[in-house]
Amino acid sequence: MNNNNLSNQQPNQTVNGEQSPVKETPPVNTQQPDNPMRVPSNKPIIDKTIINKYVSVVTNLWMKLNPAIRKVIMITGFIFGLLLFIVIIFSVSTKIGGKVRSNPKPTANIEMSPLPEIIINPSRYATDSGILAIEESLKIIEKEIGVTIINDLKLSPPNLLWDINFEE
Amino acid sequence: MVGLKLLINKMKKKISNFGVLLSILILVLFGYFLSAVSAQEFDYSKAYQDFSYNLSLHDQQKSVYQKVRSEYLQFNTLISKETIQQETLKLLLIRDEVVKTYLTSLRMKIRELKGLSDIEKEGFYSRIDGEYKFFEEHKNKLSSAGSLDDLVEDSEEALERYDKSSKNVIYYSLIGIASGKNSYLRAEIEKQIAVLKSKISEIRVNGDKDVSAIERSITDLENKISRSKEKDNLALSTVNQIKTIERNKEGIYNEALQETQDSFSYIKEVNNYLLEIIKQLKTN
Repeated sequence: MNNNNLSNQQPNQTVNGEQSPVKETPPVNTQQPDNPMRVPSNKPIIDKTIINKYVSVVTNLWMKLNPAIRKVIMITGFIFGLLLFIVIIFSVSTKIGGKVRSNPKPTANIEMSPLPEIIINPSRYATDSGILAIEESLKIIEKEIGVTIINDLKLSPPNLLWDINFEE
Repeated sequence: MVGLKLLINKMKKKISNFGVLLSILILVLFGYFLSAVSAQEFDYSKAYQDFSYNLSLHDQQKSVYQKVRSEYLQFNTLISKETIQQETLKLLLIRDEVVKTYLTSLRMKIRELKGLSDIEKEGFYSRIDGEYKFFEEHKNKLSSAGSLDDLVEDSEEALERYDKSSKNVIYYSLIGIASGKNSYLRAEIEKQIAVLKSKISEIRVNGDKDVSAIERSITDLENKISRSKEKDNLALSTVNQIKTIERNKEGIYNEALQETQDSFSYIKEVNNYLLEIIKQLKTN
């Protein structure tokens, strides 16, 4: 904005008019540009009178209610609050319990997207919906076969101590 | 005026009573909801976690028992005798719990298998439940043991049951799980073979592609599927014939397991061939 002194002087030139091998640091611009995004500070963000108005309306409505109905609303509110508290405690405790006994999670496999199949010399059945559907199903089965473990060692019988005796 | 006030008071009381009733109803419903949620959550994964947890407790208690036992045999004091009795009881209790939770894991695994029919599953359940019941009752009576000799006797009783009966049920269930997995995959492949056969008939009628070689291949694949079924049946009958007094139970189980693995190899082979056939159909 205010760079008139800079525009008059050639880059890499000293006061005497000699060329300087050292690069000059750019001059600091002391005058800040106007910021169009700045919010004027004297204007309140939320009008307090609106809040007060709503509060008074709600209070009036509440006071107009039958005391018995107010009691019912308060009891029900309290119970809901209590239930919410129980639910939070329950969910937190089950999560903690789960963490204590959880098995190590297997590392996630990064699945590579398969390359598109290129058919050389395709027949008229290359795009047949029936054939494509069978192929799709067989590929799903292939994936299921890939993750099937017949001899699941996790389920091997536990190694327990059965030999209980007190003879040397 | 007085009548009106009385009426208003009555109404207030009624509303207040209604509020209390409503609160009780909400609490009851919430309790029911919580119990329903916790009941739904129990599956194989949860059962296996229980088993793993109990097994780790058993292993810890085993170390404690071995340490206390050596101290007892070394010093033979009254205190060491009392300690060994307590620790042995703890070990027997947790050991029974491990067997129970392991049997439950097997049961839940079978329940979640898609390849077994409900009748087949019931057959496994009844055998597993019989063993579970024994260990539950055995665990319940353990605390009544008054001496070390009683505990040794109780331990031998559990060992005898485990060796003669539980092991047979465990091996039978494990083979059932393996063959159930095969059965599911086989059924899925058989469905695709049926669809493919009808498509090939259609192509033959069209007369624009020679499918005679493909038809022969499909017959071969159907034979392989039959062989896979035979292998699974053989595995189940092999493991089912393990006698109570059989010494080489594990060897027979491994033999049966090999049959299920061979069956699985056939299934894999058939699926790969079917994908090859699809490629052939898609090219001239």
